[in-house]
Amino acid sequence: MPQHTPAPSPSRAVYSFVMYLSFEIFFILYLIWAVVPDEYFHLLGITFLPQRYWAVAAPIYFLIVLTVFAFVIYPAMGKFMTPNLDDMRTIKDTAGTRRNANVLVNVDSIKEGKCICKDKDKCYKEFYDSIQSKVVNKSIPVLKDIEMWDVSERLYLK
Amino acid sequence: MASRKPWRKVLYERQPYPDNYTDKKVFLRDLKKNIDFREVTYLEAVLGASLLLQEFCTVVAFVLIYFYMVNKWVPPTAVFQWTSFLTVLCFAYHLLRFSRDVREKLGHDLRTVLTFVVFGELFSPVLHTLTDTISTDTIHTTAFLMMLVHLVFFDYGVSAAIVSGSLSLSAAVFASICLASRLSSAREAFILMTVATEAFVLFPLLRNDMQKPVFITFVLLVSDTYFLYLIGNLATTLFLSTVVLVTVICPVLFVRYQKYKDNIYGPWDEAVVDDVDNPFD
Repeated sequence: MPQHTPAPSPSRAVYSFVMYLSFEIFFILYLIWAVVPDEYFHLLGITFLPQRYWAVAAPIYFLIVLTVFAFVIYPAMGKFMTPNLDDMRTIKDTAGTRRNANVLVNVDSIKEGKCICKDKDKCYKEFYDSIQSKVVNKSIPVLKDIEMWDVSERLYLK
Repeated sequence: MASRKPWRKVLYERQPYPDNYTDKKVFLRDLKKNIDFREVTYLEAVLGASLLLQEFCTVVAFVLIYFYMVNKWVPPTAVFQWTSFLTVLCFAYHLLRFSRDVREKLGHDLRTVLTFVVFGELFSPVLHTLTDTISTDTIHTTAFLMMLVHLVFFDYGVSAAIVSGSLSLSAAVFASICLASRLSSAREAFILMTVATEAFVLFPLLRNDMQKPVFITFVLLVSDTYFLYLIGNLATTLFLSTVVLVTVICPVLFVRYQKYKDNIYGPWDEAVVDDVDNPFD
């Protein structure tokens, strides 16, 4: 993907302009097809258009699908995926309670491992290896849940 | 209030100002507009649109070949001979002009051609009857939609997320397989598939290497118009109005609407992390 940024860029400008114009044209063509009587099309030799019933039916089908999804299916999926209030999953999960979450990285394993950089000039491995011990000592511990009883003790028993 | 410390835009210091305070002097000082905006001239816009026109004309030419073959206005052998002749001519030109290792490339490409011809001949009865049971109206609508998909996702040389060469090519091949089933024999289906390969695989490669060849667009445009004129007025009118829309009206609007461009930039923009391995990506 060439895009990492949501900012405007020249290629985006071109494609969005094309999109803007084509939807405008599409809308005008749709209106002409939906409003102008069939005889005029037959005069021009255009006999292959779909029935005009679809000019009304297709948008209504689309809107009904959209409504059902937005107001029924998506809220229902959200409700199904949310655990109950007294469920243990609202208090604890696997992300915050990993064992040894405080131990950063094993320094030796990094030193032995091979570098995956494609461009050796831009590789910072040597640099990070040299400051690794400093990083481990001074760094902020990895994010981790505090046990529930510690929280209760601190909040209610003191 | 002269005794107050001047306000600073920091969160780590306690300051004698309300939380939502903003200094009038600092307010929107970092706002920038249209940073790397470069005005596109009319000529550049037309040149860009001519890339779209080229691919559009190729699609129309392919459909014309199908139309002439299905109505038996032209013998299929003649189509095969002419397109093969043109392809060999363009291939020789491409080989001599753009290739470094001519012999190796020639051998490699001849092998590819041989594979294509053998498998194409083998599978053309299957391809010919693949969509035989589907009604002609459905076939034409599907071909139209797939060609539209082909034009939308085609790689015009502008880097955007929507561009996908493989999707574009598959759509074109799907359309041509659909159309091939309307022809009268497996041999004609094979010829149409050959033409599709030449038009949608090889031709864009040649045009890419030739760098915006305007005369190719012109030749395509004239020949398309001529052969459409032989079919009827309605098709010609539709084709010409599309051409005018693409090459005249859209570029004019694009150049005109540039003055409404009003992109704002500032410290609130999301940070962009460049890839270490491909900094110019």
